[in-house]
Amino acid sequence: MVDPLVVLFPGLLATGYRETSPRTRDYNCIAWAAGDTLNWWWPTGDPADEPRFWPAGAPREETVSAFLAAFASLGYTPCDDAGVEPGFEKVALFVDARNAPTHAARQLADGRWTSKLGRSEDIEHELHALEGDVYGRVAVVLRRPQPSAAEAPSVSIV
Amino acid sequence: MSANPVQNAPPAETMEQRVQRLLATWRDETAVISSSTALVAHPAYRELIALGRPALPYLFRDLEQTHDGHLSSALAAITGAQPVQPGDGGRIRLVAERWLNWARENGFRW
Repeated sequence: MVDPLVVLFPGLLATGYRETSPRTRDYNCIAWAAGDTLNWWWPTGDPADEPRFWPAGAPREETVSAFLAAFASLGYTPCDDAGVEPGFEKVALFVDARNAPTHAARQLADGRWTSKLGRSEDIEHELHALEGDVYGRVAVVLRRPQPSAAEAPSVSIV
Repeated sequence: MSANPVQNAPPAETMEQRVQRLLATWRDETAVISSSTALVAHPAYRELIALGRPALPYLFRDLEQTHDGHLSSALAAITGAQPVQPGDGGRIRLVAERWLNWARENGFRW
């Protein structure tokens, strides 16, 4: 049987992946990368509907700068490479051909990455295995000093 | 003998079947999408909205079963109501609960 995730993300075939959670509609990739499993994060949507969660002060627009601002509220700043750096946590932002953000992944301690796939599962994977038609390419990698429990910038949830 | 075209025609899709088909298509084709803009712009989602008020009982039934608060835009568009409190839009299950409460308070049955 063909794995539907491999159909969507052919890069997973070569590098493998591991499901780490059941499907849920409660949070998405941006929330998962930010460490929040209670909210669906996205800056835009239907103007007639109540907006999804987005950090206060970050622009509500589907742009890289808006997403950088959202992660800056958690202490993340852009960095040059996606390798493991002891003492730092990393997030990678994917964009489509229009340079609009589509996805975010968070680095694990062993250098692999964890992603929530929309309303589907969380998976562990190699970073570039999710590049392709659906999520586009990795555009920016962000990092922040690994926070201690007392120092971690908290997600502001209204 | 030629077949009777009326007897051989597939039965017309009921409103319930149509809602279920559109929901399944929408969920299948947006399963890995995080963009709320893309979710509500999907053709199947727009078609659900175009069905109007006759679709509501089936949408509320689905909402009760799935707690899929991503249906809120469709429900707001069809009803003109907005029972979700400001600041609650990110809590998908809570969004669903607010809509179900609103539906019960407004006499919907499903």
